[in-house]
Amino acid sequence: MKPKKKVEKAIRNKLWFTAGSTLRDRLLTDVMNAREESMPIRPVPCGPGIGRRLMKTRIAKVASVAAVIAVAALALTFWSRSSAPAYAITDLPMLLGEIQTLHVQSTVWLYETDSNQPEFEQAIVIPCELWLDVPGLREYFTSSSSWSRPDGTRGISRIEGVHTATYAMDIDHTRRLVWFNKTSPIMRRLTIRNQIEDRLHRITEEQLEHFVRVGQETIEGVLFDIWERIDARKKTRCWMAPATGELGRIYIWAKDHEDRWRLSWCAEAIERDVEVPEEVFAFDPPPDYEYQNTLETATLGEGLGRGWYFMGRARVCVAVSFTLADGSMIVAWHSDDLEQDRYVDQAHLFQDLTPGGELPKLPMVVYGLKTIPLEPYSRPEVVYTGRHLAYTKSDRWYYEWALFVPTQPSPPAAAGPEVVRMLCRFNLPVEQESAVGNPVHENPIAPDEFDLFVRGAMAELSDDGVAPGHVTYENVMALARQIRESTTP
Amino acid sequence: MAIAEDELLKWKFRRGSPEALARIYEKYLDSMLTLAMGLLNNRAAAEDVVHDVFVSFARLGPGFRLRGRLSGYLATSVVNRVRDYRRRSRRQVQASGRESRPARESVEPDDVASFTEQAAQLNEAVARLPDEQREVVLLRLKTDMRFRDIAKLQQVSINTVQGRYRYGLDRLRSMLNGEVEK
Repeated sequence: MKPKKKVEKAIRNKLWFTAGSTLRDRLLTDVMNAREESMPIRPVPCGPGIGRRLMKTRIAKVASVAAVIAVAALALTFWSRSSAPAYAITDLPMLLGEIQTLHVQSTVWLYETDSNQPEFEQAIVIPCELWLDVPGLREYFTSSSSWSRPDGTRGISRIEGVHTATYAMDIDHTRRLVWFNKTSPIMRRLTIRNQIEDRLHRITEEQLEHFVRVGQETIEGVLFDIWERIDARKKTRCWMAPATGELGRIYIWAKDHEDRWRLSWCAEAIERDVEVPEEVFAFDPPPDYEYQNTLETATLGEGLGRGWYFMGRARVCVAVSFTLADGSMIVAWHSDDLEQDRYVDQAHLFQDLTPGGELPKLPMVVYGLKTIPLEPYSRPEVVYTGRHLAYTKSDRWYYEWALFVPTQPSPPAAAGPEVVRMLCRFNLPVEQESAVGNPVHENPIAPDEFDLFVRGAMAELSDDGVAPGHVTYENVMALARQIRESTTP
Repeated sequence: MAIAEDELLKWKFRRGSPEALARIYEKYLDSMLTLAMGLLNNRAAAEDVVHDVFVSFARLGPGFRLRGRLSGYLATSVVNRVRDYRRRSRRQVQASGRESRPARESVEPDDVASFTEQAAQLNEAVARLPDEQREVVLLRLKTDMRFRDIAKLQQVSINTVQGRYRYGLDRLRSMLNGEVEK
C-alpha cells in the first residue's frame, strides 16, 4: 500500500490537463466577446494601488440619508418561516475568533446643515477600509475624525495607518503629516485580537443575546439572516449567512438630538480569510508630506505605547489592563509627582508588599474600579476593590500590577454599553481630592490566554524580560476568591 | 506574489480591465479544465463546462464583487456546472433510455486538452470515486480550496468533508497501488 501522502502528491503534481492552443484561443475569443457584449459603458481606467485609492476618493455629499435607509428597508424580505439556522448571531464570537485575515470596507456618515439652505441637511459619507492580518499582527486602516476649534471652524481629518509587529506609520491626509512609532509586540497582538470586534462595532458576546432575527435577504446569491438590536440611542443590524456564518453587512444607526435614527456607520464588504495583497502593508507615505520623524527615530511610548496623562499634580501611565474569566481585572500603572524629579527612585514603595495586600503608595493610586452604565437599562454600577498583585520595573519606571475584584458576590452581565473607570486617590505633598479617573480598557482574557497576554505584558515591562513567577492563572484566581470572600458580605 | 496578483486582478476586473480578464483566464484555464475533467471524465463535456464558466465570469464585469479567493470562485462555478451537466445527462438517460453522448462529438487534433498517460491513469482512478469524494479530493488537491469552503459548497459539515477526503484518498491508494511511484 502506498501512503496517502504519495497519493496526494501524485494528484497534486501529476494530474494535469493542458488546453491545446486552438482550444485556448477559441475559448479566449468567446470570453472576450462575452465581456464586450456585457459592457454597458466604456471601461473605467484602472487607477493606482488599493492603498491609495480611497484616499483619493472625493468626500461624497448626499442630499438625504432617509432615501438610503428607505431603500435598505425596502430591500428586506421579511420572513415568516421558523427554520432553525445553522449559524446564529450568538456564534459570532466563535467565528470571529477563527479569523486569520479580515477585510472590511465601510462608510462613516456625518451630518451637517448648510447655513444657506437650513431646510436641507447634507450627509458626508467617508469611506473607510480595514485589512487585518491576524497571524502577522499587521493592520492597514483608513479612518476619519471630526474636529472643531473655539473660533468655530470645523473639519474632518482623514487618517491612514499601517501598523505592524514592530513599527506603526500614521498619515494625516488633511494636515499632510506623517509620523512613525515603534510598537509593542504584546500590544499589537492584543490590539489585533480586539480590532476584529472593535471594527465590527463591538458586537460582543454579552450584547449578542439582545439581538433578534427580523428578516432575511439574499445578497449576491447568498441567503442572510438579518439580526437586529435596538438600544436606547443605537440600532444595529447585522446580516449573517446561516449556512456559513459569513457576515454580509453591518449597519449602525444612532439617534440624533431630535430622536431620529440616522445611519452612522455601515459595512457592506466584509471578507474574512481573504489573501491580503502584500503592498497593503507597505510603508509608502506621500513624499511631499511633512514628516514628524522617521523609522530610525521612532520610539515606543511609555507603558507599552500608551503614553502619559495628568491628574492634577500626578503624572500617570496606565500601561495595560485585562479582564479575567471571573470578572476580576488586572491593571498595570505607574505614576509620579510632577513637581519632583521624575527619576526619583520608587523602589522603597514596593518593599514589603504582598500579593492580596495593600497597594503601593505611589503619587496616584488606583484603589478601585467602578462600572458606569452608559444607558438606562444597563446593570447597576459595580465597584471593584484593588489589591497588590505584583510589580515590574522597566528602565527607571516601576509598574504596579493590581488585582481588582468586584465587591458584589456575582456581578450580573452587562446588558448594554458601559465603561470601567478608575477610582484614584493621591499621595502628594499637597492635598488632592480623590477622583474618578479615565476609563480602562477591559480586554477580556480567556484562561488559556493568560500566559500569552498577562505574563507576556509583564515580561515586556520587566528589565529582565521575565514575569514574576507567582503570577499564574491559578494563583490569581485563588487570590481573587480570597479577596472576594473578605470583601463581600 | 500570486496572492497579491489575484487581489489586483479582482480589482482591475471589477473596473472593466480586459487585460485582467485575459490574465485570469490564462492563469486558471488549465486548473479549471483539470478539475472539470476529473469530475466528469469526459473531455468534451469538461471543455464545455470550462467554456461556460469563463464566459459567464466575463459577463459579470463591473458588477463583480467577490468575497474570497478567485480560484475558489471559479472552482465553485465549475462544480456547479458539472452538477448541472450531470443532472441534464441523467434526465436525458431517463428520457431516452440510453447513455447521453458527449456534448461535442468531434474535435480537431489540436483543439483538445492534452494530458500525459499518467494523468489519464490518475483521472481514471479519480473518476471511480463517488461524486462527493471526487469533488472533495479534486477541490482540495487541485484548487487548494479549504475544507471549510468545500463544506459550504457541499452544504455539509466540515467533519463530513474531511471524512470524504480520507475515504477518497484511501480508495485512491488502493486503486493506484503500484502506480503512484511511476
